[in-house]
Amino acid sequence: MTTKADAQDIIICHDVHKWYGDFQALKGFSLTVKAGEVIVIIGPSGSGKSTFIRTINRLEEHQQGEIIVDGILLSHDVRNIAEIRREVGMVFQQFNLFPHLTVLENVTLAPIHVRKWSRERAEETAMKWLNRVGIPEQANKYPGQLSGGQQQRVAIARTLAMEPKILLFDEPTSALDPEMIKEVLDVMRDLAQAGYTILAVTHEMGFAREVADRVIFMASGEIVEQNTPQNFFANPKEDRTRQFLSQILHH
Amino acid sequence: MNERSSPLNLLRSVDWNRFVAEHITKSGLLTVWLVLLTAFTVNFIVGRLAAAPLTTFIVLIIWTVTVSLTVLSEVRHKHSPLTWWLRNNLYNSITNILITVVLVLGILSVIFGLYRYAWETASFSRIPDTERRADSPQQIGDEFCFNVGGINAAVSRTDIVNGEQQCFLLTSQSTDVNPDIIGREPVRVCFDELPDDPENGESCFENRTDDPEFFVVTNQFEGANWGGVAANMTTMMVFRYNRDELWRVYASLVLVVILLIPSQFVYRDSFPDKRLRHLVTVLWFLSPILIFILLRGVRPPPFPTDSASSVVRGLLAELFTWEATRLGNNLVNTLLFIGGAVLAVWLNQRVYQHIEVSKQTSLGWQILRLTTDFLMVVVVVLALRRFVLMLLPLFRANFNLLALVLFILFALGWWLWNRRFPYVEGESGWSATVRTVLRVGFIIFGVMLAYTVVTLLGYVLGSLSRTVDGVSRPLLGYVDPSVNWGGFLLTIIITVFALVVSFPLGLVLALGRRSQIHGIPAWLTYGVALIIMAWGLITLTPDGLAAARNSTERILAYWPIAVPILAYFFQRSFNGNVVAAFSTLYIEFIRGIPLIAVLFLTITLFPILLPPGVEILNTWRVLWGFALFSAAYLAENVRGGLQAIPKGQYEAADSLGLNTFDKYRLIILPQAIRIVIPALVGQFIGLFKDTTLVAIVGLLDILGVANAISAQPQWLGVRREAYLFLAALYFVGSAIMVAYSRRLEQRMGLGER
Repeated sequence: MTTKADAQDIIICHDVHKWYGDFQALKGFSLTVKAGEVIVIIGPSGSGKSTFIRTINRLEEHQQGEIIVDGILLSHDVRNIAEIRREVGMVFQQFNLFPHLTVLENVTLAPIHVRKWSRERAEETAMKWLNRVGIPEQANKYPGQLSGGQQQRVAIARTLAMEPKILLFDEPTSALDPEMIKEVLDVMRDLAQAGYTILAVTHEMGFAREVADRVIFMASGEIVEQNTPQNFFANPKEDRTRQFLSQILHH
Repeated sequence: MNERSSPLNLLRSVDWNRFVAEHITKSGLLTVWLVLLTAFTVNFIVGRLAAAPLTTFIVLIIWTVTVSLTVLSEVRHKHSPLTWWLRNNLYNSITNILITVVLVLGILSVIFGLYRYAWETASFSRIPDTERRADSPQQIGDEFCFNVGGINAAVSRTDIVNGEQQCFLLTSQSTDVNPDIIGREPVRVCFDELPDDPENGESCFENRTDDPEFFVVTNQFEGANWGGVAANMTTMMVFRYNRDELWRVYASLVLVVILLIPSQFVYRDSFPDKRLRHLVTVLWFLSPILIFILLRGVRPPPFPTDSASSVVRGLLAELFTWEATRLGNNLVNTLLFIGGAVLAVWLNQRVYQHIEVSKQTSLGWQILRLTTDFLMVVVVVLALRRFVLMLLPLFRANFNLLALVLFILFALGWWLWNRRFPYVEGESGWSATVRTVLRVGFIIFGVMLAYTVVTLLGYVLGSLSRTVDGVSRPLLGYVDPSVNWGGFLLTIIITVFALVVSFPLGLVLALGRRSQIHGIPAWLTYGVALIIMAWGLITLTPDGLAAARNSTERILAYWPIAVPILAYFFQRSFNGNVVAAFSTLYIEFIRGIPLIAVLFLTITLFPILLPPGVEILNTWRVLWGFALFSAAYLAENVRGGLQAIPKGQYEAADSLGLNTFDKYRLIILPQAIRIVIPALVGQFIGLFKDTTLVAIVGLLDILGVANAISAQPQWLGVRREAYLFLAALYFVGSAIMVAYSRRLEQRMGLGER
C-alpha cells in the first residue's frame, strides 16, 4: 500500500458542481485519486454516484469546478476530451455492446480506429483480453448470442483493449442474474490486483470489502464519508452512512 | 361406444342453443349481416353459375365437401391437420364459410376474366387494322396462298374468287410469323383447309375499291389489343432517344448487370478476396459517372479528330496554349501577400497554443479563435490567388501547365517537409505553419490539376469515333437529355438519381436536425436582431410608409419589427443552433409542400435565381427537384432510426474515444439504417411511382408515352392495354426493390439482439 500512497495523483476533482435544470446532482464534489488506487463508491439511488463517474470521461458535463485526469484539464476542448477518453475506460450497467458487430469486432473497433493499430495487432490484443476474461471461444459470435455475464465480460475486454490507465465501472453487476455476478466480479478483482486505477459504483459490498483501497459514501450529490473498507464497514462515523449500511446489510 | 359415434348422437351432442347464439343471434347486427351475406352469396353463386357453370360448380363441390368434413370433425372433436387448418383459417364461423366461397369465386372470375381479356381473345399483331392487307391470293391445288402485310389469316375459296367481303377464321396464333418482318415486307401464308365455321370467324377481308387485288383484313377480337403496346415498346422504354445511339442504353444496362452479378457474392462475409470487393465497390462508385457519359455523351473537342495523331496534336495544343501576356503583377505586392498568409497561419497557431486550457471555454476565446481561423483562411486564399496570378504570365496564361507544375512543387515540398520534420502531436511554430501552408497548396493545386485532367479526358472521349454506313461519327456524341431522355429510361434515371443523391443528403439533414452543438448565444442573436430592426425602422420604414397606398401596406412597412420576433423563436426552438434550425426548416418546408409544387418551383422559379445567361436544362432541374424533395422525407425516416438507438450506444462509443464521425459511421448509422430499411424502401418505391409527375412539367416519362399511344391514329383508344402494361412494369420494378430490401434486412439482421 505504501507504493500507492506515494503514487502521483491521477484524478483530481475540485469543487465539481453539476445541475440538471434546477436539480443539483453534484454539490461541490472534491476527490483526489492516486494512480493504482481502487475506489468503490456507494450510496442510495439518486445520490449522484453515476453522475460523478460519468463526469470523469465527459459523458456528463460539469458546470463548475475543475477535473484534471492524468494531467489533462477536462474542458470544452475536444482534443482534451478525446485524449482523456483514450486513457479512461468505462464499463456500463447495460453493457452497451455494439449489437451489429461480432465480439471480436467490438473489442478491436476502438484500437483500430482510435489508436490506429493494424488489424492484426488489434486482433492479437483483443484475443489476449478475451482470454483474460475467459471467453476466447465466443470471439466470432454476436453479443445477442451471449449470456448477460459473458456480455459484461466482453464489455470489460473491449474497455481493456484500449489499454486505459483508469477504469470506471458504473454498476457493472446490477443488470445481471445472481449466478453471473460472480464471473464478472472475479474479472474485476483480477484487474484490481493488476494495478489499474479503478473507480467503481457498485452495490457489491463483498467486492468493496475485499479489494477497495477506499470506500466513498455519497448522498445527495456530496461525499458523506470516505474511509478504508475495514473502518468504513466496522465503524461508520455518520448517521446517514449507518442508516444506509443497516438497510443494505440487514435484509 | 358404437352408439356414441353414430351421426345422430354426434349431432345430438352438439349444444345447438349455444351454436345459434354464438353464430347468429349474438347481436341484432350479426343477424342482419348474416341474412344480407347469405342473400348476397346466393345471388353471386347464381350469377357465376350462369357465367361460368363448370368452374363454379367445381368450386361449389369442393367447398361443400370441405365444409362438411370440417363440421364433422368439429362435432366429433377430432380434427385431421387439413380440417384443423380449414377450421382455423376459412370455416371458423358461418359468416366466414359464406365469405370463403364468395372470395374464391370472385378471385377465379378475376383470373379467368383477365386471362380471357389479356390472352385468349387478345390480338398481338403490331400492324394496325387499317394496315393489314391481303395481297395477290392464288390457289395452288387445294391450298390458298396470299401475301399479307404482317398477319396470317385463313381464307375460303369462294371469297377470294368472288372478291366479296366475308369473315374468316382467325388463325393468327396457328402460324408463326417472324415479328421483325411484320409491317415491313409481305408475308406469304398458305392454308390447306377451309374454315369450318365462317360465321364465327374473327377476321375479315375487305375488298379495297381502288385495287381489287388488295383485301383489307379487319381483325375482330373482344380482348386486349396488345399491338399498340408492342409496336411502341421501344418508344415507351427510351422515348426519343436517338435510335442510332441505342447501344449506349444497352451498354449502361450491361454495365449494371455486370456489376450486379459479382455483388451477389463479393459482399458476403465468407468471401476471401478483399481486393475484388474493393474493385467492385470502386466500380459501383464510378458507374454513375460512366452511365452519365454513356447516356449524355461528351461534347466534341475543339480540335480536329480525323486521326489519332491529330487528336494527340490537339490535346498537346490544348495543354500548351500560349498567350502573349505581360508580367502585369507587382512581385513585391505578391510577396507581401504571401508573407501575410504565412504570418496569419503562424498567428493562428500561436493563439491555439498560448491560451490557457482552462480559459478555452470562455466566449471571448471562442470568438478570438473563430476570428483568427476566418482571417487565416481569407488571407491564405487571397495569397494563393495572388501567387497564381503572379505566375500565370510566366506560363503565358497556360492554366493547365501552371496547375501541374504547382501541384508537383507543393506535393514534393510537403513530402520533403514531412520527411525532414516528421509530424509530432501538438507541434507548434514554423514547422506546423509550413506544413499547413504546403498542405493547403497541395490540396488546392490538386483540385486545379484534377480539373485539367478531367477536361482533357473529356476531349479524349469526345475524339473517339465510329463509322456507320461509311460516315464517321463521334462514338460518344452529345445527346441532348431534354430531348432524348424519356420513357422508362427517364423514370429509371430520376429514381436512381434521386435515390443516390438524397441518401447522403438525407443522412446529413437527419444528423443536422439532431445536432447538439453550442449555438449562437442569446445576447448575440437578440443584439443583431435589434440592430437590424433599428436599422430597418430608421432607413426603410419611412420610405415604405411614404409609398404605401393602403393600410395593409402601411402595416407591412413596419416589417423590421418581425426580426426580433423571429430571433426569439430561433432562440426558443433551437437555442441558437444554426445547423438544427436549417435542417428542421428545410425538412418541414419541403414536407409542407407537395411534390408537384416542388417541380413547378424548379421549372418556373429557379431560373429567376440564376444569373442572366446561365441556363440549366429542365431535366437537371427536375432531377434535383426529386432528389431534394426525397431527401427531406429520407431525413425524417433516418431520424426515426437514430432515435431508436439506445443512448448507451452513443455513450459506449464516446467512452471508447471514438470521434463523432467514426461514432456515427461505425456505430450509430449502421444500426439506425438497418432499422429504417423498410421505411426507406417504402419511400423509394413511392419515389419510383411519383416519377410519373414529371409529365406536368413537360417531360415525357413512360406514362406520358403510354398516353401518347392512344392518340396515334392507328391505335386510337388503345389505352387500357398500355395502362395494364405500365401497371405490370411498375409492379415488377417495385417487387424487385422489395425483394432486395428483404435480402438486405436478412443480411444486416445477423447480429439481432
